[in-house]
Amino acid sequence: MKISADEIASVIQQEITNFESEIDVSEVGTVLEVGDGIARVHGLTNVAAGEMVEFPGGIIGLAFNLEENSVGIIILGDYLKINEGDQVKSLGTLLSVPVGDGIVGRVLDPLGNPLDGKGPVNSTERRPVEIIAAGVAERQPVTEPMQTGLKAVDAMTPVGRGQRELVIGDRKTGKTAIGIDAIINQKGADVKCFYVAIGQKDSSVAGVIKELEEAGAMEYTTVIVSGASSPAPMQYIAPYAGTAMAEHFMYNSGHCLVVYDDLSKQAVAYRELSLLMRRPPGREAYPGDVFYCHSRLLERSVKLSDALGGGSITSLPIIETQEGEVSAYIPTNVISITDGQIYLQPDLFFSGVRPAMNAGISVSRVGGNAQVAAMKNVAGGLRLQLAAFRALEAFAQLGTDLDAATQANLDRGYRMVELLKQPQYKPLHVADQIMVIYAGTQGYLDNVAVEHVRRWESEFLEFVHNKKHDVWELLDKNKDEKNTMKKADDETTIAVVAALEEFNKSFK
Amino acid sequence: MDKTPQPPTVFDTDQQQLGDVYAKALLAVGNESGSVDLLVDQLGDVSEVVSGLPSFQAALESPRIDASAKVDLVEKAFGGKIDQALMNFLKVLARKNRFSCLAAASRSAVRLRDVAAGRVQAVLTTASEVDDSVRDRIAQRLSKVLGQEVSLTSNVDPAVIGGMVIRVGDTVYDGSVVNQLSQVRRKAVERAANAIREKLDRFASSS
Repeated sequence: MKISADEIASVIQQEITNFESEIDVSEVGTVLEVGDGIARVHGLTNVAAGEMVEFPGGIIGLAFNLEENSVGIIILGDYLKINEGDQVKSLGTLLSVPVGDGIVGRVLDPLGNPLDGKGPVNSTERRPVEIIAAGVAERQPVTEPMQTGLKAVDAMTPVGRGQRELVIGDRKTGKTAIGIDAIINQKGADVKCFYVAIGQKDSSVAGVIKELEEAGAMEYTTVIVSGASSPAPMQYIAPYAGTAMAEHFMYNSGHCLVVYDDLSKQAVAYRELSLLMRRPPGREAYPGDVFYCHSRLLERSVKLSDALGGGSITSLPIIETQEGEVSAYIPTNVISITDGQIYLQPDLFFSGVRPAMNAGISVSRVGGNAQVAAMKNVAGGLRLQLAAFRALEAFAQLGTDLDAATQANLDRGYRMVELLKQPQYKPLHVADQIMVIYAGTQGYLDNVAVEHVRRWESEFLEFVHNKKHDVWELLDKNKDEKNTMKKADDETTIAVVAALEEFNKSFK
Repeated sequence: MDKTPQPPTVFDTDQQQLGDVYAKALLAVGNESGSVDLLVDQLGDVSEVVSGLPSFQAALESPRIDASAKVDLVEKAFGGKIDQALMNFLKVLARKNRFSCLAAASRSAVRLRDVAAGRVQAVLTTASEVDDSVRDRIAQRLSKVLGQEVSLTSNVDPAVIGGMVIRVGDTVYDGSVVNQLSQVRRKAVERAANAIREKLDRFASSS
């Protein structure tokens, strides 16, 4: 294919002929000092907070601090090209990013510029990066499930569409993996996914993008990258930009999943900016409004009312803790903002329990409302049982003799823990999850050795898909019925039990 | 001790704020005695003299020199040559160790006097020197538009290419050729990109 220069020339010629000269009236200021991603500017008398300004060379900035004698500007671009004495022009608009179908499948920076070398972003629509979240009347309760494909999460801390579920844990405990698995599991579910990488190594982000591509997930995913080498202002606005892109789909009745990886880095970037702007430091040197920084972001994850199309944004913010310290400033803030948390523990992770979710302190405040009915019936008491098992396990380590009932409880607990393990990038369909968890909680695994539980699981699922597909389909069809799998005489339960018994006879 | 060299654009907002306060006080004194113009003009002269003599300026600004010595210094240098009110003003500056904001005070005195008189300063930038008659006409038109008396200073910057740029306070009226060229460029690029996006086949020939 060849682009014809004549046609382009004719378009430009038309533009020149029709050009009407206008006198450009603008408000300006002068750069007093510049450095570390911020500039102090004298002038710009009428600039508004959050307004865009333009430096020479088209570099964009945002008015951040309005002081008596100067204006503090955060620079979204290469601040090394700005000099003292440069003229700054206020643009009278707010920062916006391109939105629409053109951004799906792309890797973008927080301003919407492409980073993947696939040409310009084909989009004509834009949305402001910062908006006030939908109000009370514009929302409805979260009731639709958002399947993450992870047995442990979907069974014990279910996430609903429009929910904010925090993923929290130390470094290297599989936080990102949960987000990526959740994105991969949205294949075919008509959910647009956004992965916002803040302050991460570019190599890790490249790894994530490769995994998403291999799983075929990039077709419905947008990656917004502001790596460790990008200046603090870019890291600060990245999550807002990602949310703005998702909001376009939400307000057009779509469903979105946004993974913010991770918000502790964003808080650090915001702290850097605030300290450079000489805002007073508070606890851990964070500025006083760091809570608002996160709350106004996460409040934008909403399940919209039917009148507004019923779209939703589900968010999985990620927070990294230091040495398991959840009572630090940022973790407590975000825990209190979100509708529940998935707490990942290093000792579980290293003992092979992956996802390394601590069932005792992980919760979902939306809970069962956002769970498939059959899953709710099967996994209702699982979280408490597992927490009790952990306590019992600690007690059993003392070496005391146990009575038979306690020993049976322990044995089942070991098998449940084994059953909830799941390899990375292998999300399971909810019907598969229901059958497997039913087998575990109802004792169909009691005679399988602990080390064979995972082999049992994969062989059983293979058996169901190949030989008992009618049972699988029956469960898939009935999974939203209120009483499915609740009682032993339920039609679906009978079919599943029959399949389990038949498989157990042949399992060696 | 060496001072780090600073570019001429350095503008200290803290000093300016101090200068504003001192200038306001001086103008209030001038208003009482009806000698505002005299005081402001003389303050400008004094500021120029001081900044022209770096060692004298350093002595006046140095915190190590006693305030009474500075008062004597000011008395000797300007005694009899300036209005008594301005002399008192300089002595106050000396006693409060605020000589560093002299230039800022002078700048703000000029501005405050203009504001009080309903005058605004405007800067005209053109590609080449303009006739005085043209300048007067521009000043008249501007006064009419802004509803205030305009005192126009002109600047020559060949980068403007043609037309003119007028800056009044923080507002810039840009009617320069260079600005129009960049507008044409931006619009043409935008239009071409949109046209390509809408009808790719019109531009592409499959060869």
